[in-house]
Amino acid sequence: MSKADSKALPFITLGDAALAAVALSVILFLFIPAPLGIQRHVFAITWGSIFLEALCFMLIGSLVSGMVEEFVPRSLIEGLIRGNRFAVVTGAAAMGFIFPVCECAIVPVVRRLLKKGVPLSAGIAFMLAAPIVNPVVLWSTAVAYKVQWFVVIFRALFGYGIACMAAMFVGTFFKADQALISTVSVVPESCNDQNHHHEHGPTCSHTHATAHPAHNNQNKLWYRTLSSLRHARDDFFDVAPYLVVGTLLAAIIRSSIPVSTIQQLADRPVLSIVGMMGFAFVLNLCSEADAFIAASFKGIVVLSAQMAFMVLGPMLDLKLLLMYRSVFRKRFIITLVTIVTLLVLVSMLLYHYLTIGAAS
Amino acid sequence: MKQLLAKVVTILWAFILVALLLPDSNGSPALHTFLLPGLWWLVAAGAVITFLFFIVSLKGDQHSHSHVKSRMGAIIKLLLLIVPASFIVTFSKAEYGTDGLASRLVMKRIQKVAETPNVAIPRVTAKDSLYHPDLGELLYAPESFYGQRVKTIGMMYLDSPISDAYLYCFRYVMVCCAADALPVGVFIDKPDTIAVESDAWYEVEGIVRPDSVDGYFIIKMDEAIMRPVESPKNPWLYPR
Repeated sequence: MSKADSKALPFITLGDAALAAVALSVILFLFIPAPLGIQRHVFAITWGSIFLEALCFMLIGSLVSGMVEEFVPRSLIEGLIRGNRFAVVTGAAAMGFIFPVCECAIVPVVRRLLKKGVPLSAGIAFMLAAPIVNPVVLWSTAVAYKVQWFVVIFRALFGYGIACMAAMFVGTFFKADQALISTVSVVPESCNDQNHHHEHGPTCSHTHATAHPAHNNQNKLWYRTLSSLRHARDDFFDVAPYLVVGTLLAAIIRSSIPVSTIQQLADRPVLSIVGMMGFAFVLNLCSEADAFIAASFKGIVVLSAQMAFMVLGPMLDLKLLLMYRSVFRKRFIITLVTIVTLLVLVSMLLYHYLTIGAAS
Repeated sequence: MKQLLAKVVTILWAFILVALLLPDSNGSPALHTFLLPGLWWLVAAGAVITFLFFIVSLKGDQHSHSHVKSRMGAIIKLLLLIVPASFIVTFSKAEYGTDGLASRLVMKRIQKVAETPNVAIPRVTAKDSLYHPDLGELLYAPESFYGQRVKTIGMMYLDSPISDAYLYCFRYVMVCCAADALPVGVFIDKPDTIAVESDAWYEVEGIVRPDSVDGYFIIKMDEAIMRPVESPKNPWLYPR
């Protein structure tokens, strides 16, 4: 961005001021003992652990995203996603069975894939399904449930099915430019030409001939690697602030709401399903570990409620909701959240009433 | 300013991630406070990637695709990334202790003791193998220890979650990161003669029995003998 462009921007926006206020308040928390009844060290360990794990996965995701940008030609992506929407969506969700990615790593990858021209519905299907149906998560579910394979199979089926249905729905009602924020919108094909000029968004424009040495040295692996790392770093800086705020809210809630609250809903299956969905949203657990937490509710809430926890959490939680803001427009996020929540709720109610009397 | 700050943030995180992997004077890396030790590779990968980001920032990079809506926006967003770093560094040797217990404990209701619930505790192993069984092994399959005198180690909680008549000797099981930690523990009759400190580590020897209090299933250690011990190098229990 040129200096002239920079001067055209406002000094500070309301959103940036709010971020600064959050940062200052949290720093103050380092010096104030137990405000709101939250023990500082409990909060710090909780936040530190959620953030640290998510940060490292997100760094790997950013690296993959940079490599996709630089080394995966659009023609290859277009070749992979031929066919009608149903085939594309089910195929994209099925890719999740192969890639061991959790929900934090997948956001920058999907962001880049969408930017690269992957259809919205395919991107959404992969983003929602992969953190649930990948082999690492299914294995951890099997361990947590002491190799009760029907739990693993149902988790995979619900994760896959709901991801496909949600993706089909949003793909029908949204076009990519209605769903994606301007900086993620698909870059036109002509931008693959050398020495072109394009807009990345309202605040970022540049001439590629000078900005990317890689574009002038397309055959040199070194320059392409360097360019891929720059893309990765920029993706990381774009998504990371959302991760900070998302994990911060998650840690505050995790440190202040007792897990035992759910016990009060234990006698009412419908409420316990809703309650466990709410818990999945606020606890922000990694999909590789959430089965152990769900399994700790065995004998307390019905299996369908445990399943709701394991299916909704990897698709939608507080931290993800904020990370989605780095990719999607508000209206799209509201629609996605609504459809995913409804699909999980209806599926789990059906599961409960069709399998009533089964092990819980 | 923005470019300088981006360099500072990337190199700061690279150093922090490396520091988390290095063992302290007790031989235990600070990583253990936050994550499963088996995830060392993840932190190492994070350190390498942030270091690479720092290197590319040094390579005459005058351009960034990062998007901002105000002149202060980029600076604020970069500064925000330093905030969790300050917490991780400050609390790298902290423990949950009894403060984190109340919000994490899940008790199981039963009708009678005979119907032992399927206790969903991950099979675990302790790093300090001095005492057998550790609390995780004991509670993973408690029925195999019923009636036996065993010795174990745990942190003591004086305000038992279900009744004032008991102490709660517990440890946390970490599956992936500290945020998912769950306490596992046994109940001990409150002794009349010995003063027991909360948040302190004790070795407890007693006979394992199932019991129920107010409809909650518990594992008790009867005829317990307690003695204070040093806290273990690593307080967590992990899935095997």
